[in-house]
Formats: sequence, C-alpha cells, structure tokens
Amino acid sequence: MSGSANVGVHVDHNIQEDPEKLAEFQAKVDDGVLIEVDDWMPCAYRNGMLRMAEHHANSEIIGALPEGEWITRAPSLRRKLALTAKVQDEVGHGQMLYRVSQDLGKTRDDMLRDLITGKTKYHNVFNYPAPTWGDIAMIQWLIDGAAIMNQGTLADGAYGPYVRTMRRINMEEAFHYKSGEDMVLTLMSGTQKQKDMCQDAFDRWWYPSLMFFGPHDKPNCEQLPPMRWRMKTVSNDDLRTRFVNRFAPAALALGLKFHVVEKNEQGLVTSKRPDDKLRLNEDTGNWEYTEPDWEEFFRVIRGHGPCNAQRLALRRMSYEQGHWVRKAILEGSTLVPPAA
Amino acid sequence: MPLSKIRANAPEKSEDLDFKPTGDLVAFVTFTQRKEGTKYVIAGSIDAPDKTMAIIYAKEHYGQDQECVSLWLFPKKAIAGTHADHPTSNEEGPVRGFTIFSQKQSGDLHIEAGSVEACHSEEALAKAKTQLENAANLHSIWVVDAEYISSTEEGEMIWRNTDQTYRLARGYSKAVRTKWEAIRAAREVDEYQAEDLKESF
Ligand SMILES: [Fe+2]
Ligand SMILES: [Fe+2]
Repeated sequence: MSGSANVGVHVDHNIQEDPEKLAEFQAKVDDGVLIEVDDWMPCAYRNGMLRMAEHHANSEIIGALPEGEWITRAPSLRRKLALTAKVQDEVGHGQMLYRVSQDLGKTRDDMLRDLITGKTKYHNVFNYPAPTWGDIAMIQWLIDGAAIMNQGTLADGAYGPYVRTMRRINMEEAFHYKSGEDMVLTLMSGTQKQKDMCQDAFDRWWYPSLMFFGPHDKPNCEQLPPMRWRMKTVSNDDLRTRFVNRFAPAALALGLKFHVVEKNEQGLVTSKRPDDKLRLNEDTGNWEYTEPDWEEFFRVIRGHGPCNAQRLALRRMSYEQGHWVRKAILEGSTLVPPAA
Repeated sequence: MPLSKIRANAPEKSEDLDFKPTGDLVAFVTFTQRKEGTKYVIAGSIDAPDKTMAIIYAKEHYGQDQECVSLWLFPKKAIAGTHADHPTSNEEGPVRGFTIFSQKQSGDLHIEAGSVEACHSEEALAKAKTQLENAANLHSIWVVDAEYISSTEEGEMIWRNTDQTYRLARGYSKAVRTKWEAIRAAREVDEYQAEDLKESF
C-alpha cells in the first residue's frame, strides 16, 4: 500500500540547469515520453524522484508491521494465508521501490538507516494502531483502496522505472483491496458483535484514510514541479474527492455510520458524534463531509502520532538483530562480474 | 498496544546506530517466462549476495506475483548496452554466447531478443544491432554474456500448484458478489462493480 502525496520537490535555485536541456526535458514529459534512469533530467527531478520512491519504499515496509502482527491471530486458515501473502507483497513492494531509489543514487543500507534514525519519513497512515481484526479488514479495504487509487494515477507518471513498478504493484494491490472488501462484507453480514467491531474500526480509519491523500493542495499545484514534471498526475484534493465518492456510498450501503471522532494519545476513539455534513451534493455530484483534523495530521507527521515510536523501535530492532547476518552474507558474497 | 511481547519490549532508542553501514548486496535483473516457448520478459530486480540466493529470492518474489514457468537472472553489472549506464568493453576473450534483450520505447519492458557469438561485449552489441530488425528505432539494446545468466532448472516448479486463489483479486469475486447481493439489489451491484479496479476505480 502507500502513496507519496506529501513529498515535495525542493528546487535549488543555485543549481543552474541548462535551459535548452530543461526545455527538451519538459517537452518529453508533455508528450508523454517516459524518462529513463540514464536520460538527462534536472537535478531537482532526480532528487525529487529519489525522495518520492524512497518515501514510498519506507511506507511499504513500515506498513507491513501493523498487519504482520495479526497473522498469528487470523480467524481462519484462508485469512491467514491471505494475510501472509499480503504482508509478503508489501515487503516485496518495498524491495522493488528501494531498487528504483538505488538506481537514482542512494544505497539501500543508507535508506534503511535513515528511516530508523528518523532522517527520512514514511507514510503517516501507518502511525495508527490496529487493535482488532476489524482494523485489518478496514486497512485492506480503505487504505489499500486509497493506495490503488493513488498508485493508479502514479502509474500514469513520467518516470519509466517508477511507472513500471507501479503497474506491477497495482496487480497485487487489487488482491489486497478485494480481500479487504470481502472481510468488511463478512463482518457486516455477521453477528451484532462483528458489526460493532467493524463499525469501531471504521470510526478509527475513516479520517486517516481521508488524510492518506495528503494536505490540501496549493492553489497553483498544477504549475509546480511535482505535477508539471508528472511525478504525480492528480492533485491530493481530486484524489480525495474520488475516494469519498467511491467509498462513502458503499459504506452506507453496508450499514456503516459516519462519525466525527475525538481520539486519545493511543489513537483510540474517546467520543464520537454523527457526521451531519455527510451528503451527496446533487449539483456537483460529489460527496461532502466534515474535514479531517489537519492539526492532528501535522502533529503525526512531526512524530507525535500514536504509534510512531513503536514502529521505528521495531524496525530498528530487526535491523540491529539482522546486522550479523548481513555482514556474514556480504563478506562471503561471490559472482560479481568484473566491471563490464 | 502491541500484540506480542517482543514488540512490546522493542526498546525505543534515539541515538545513532552504533555500527557502520554494510553496503548493498548485488543487484540481479530478473526475467520471467510466462508460458513455455514464449519470450522472457523483464520482471524487475532482486538484491542478493550471490546467484544461488538470487534465484531463491526471485522465485519467491517474482514467481509468486505472476504465474510463470521459468526465470532468468544475471547481475545488473553484466549488462552491456546502448546506454551510458551499461558501457561495453572491447577486452578480448574467447568467442562466447551473448543473449540480447531489447526495449522498444522508453517506459517499455525489456524482452529477450535472440543471441549472438562474440569475443567481447562491444562486438556482441554491434552484431545485435545488425541482427535485430528495426534496431535503430529501438530505445535500448542489452547484451549479456550468457555465462552470467542463471536460470531455474527445466521442469522446476515456481508457481505453486496448490490453490493460490487467496492471493489473487479474482479469488474473491464470487464471495464478494454473493455478499453484496444479500445487501444490495443485483443491478446496483453491477453498477458498483463496473467501476471496480479500472485503473483507479
Ligand atoms: Fe503495497
Ligand atoms: Fe497493499
């Protein structure tokens, strides 16, 4: 799962790009010609793509942590097999995206270390807890659903290696989303206890899934580098609108209720009231809803979400525990051909 | 509220890591063959310490995300080609086989495109260019010394023969449909699913 909605592009105005090459590059992007790793590209584009792919890769491997925890507690053998495969897929997405980033000039080891020491980030949405099986269903339905929506548009981007990776990843995201839909349907067609568990999980995940697409766009977002260079092709707000239009009516049909919630430090709901703004606007054709708490969003990004410390501690522990294995492997490695 | 003791006890540390970076493993490029007799198509890369481990990893990674019957792998460094990041060499060696891979346009996948005999990669690339139809219009051509290409063994099972529908979207369509129809009218389900998974819903 994941997305990269919050990665900005830092254009260093001290780096003077050759205007002719820059124009040529822009023309290629505008014509839909895909950029390959060995093509000329502006410095800010190379750095921006590296940061975006790295952030995405980080999100895939951190995203596997809350779900991995539930493998041993899956309610049936088939669910256990599916969840194991899903977690394996996510880590696989991480490996593919780290490769895209490595080819842009950073070693994987450096990326893993920067993630652990907090120099780089991962997607905010993985800083929320998954206390019940209902959360696992909601993550796969809402968050993987949001990820397909986002990654579908990223597969329409301009950077060839990233685009190819998105296409491959999305085939697997389709399975994640479908199994999530099946789990939510199962719970909502079940006993009152199952329905309540599902509703509680929905209350925890609805707002994180709206925030998944990132903060509101700057008014001129289409002119800024990320969209001008087709690093992303649809704005955060447009994606969010599409998401709500798809999921709000489906959730209502399932019997789920929309709540505006207050949460405690652990990310658990302490109070809720019905979202009285939720309605289909017949004029625009779009669903309206109560905005997420954007202060919470920025607080979590700055490291103060319910699970930030816990996720990083686990990642760090497994990196530290695996150190001797990596060392043994690297020192015994063979068959590197002479520089071709 | 971690569910396991190990997770609950993972210490929260803020200091820098107390050991140096180890550096990266070797990058291997992976090609898969979907059906017997068809061309090998690039699947992606895998990082591994050596070719034996690379095959194990690639079988697990690329062999499980798409049905396939055979895998080819070679170190990324073994590629010589038309682009600057894969330079050719004219250091003479014995005459040997080079496998050709070509990419039509930027953004496309590299596909197996025959083989040539040559004594170094520069010669192999020149021969590949005369051998390939439309070579001038291809975006990229790779030649890889066949010695570096490892493959799964003939008849070796990659895609498992057990029921794997649990890891495919289509494995859920029937169950999902039945459950929706208990909630919504069939026509509404049709409308809802018409949008399903079409790029971005
Ligand atoms: Fe993923
Ligand atoms: Fe996923």
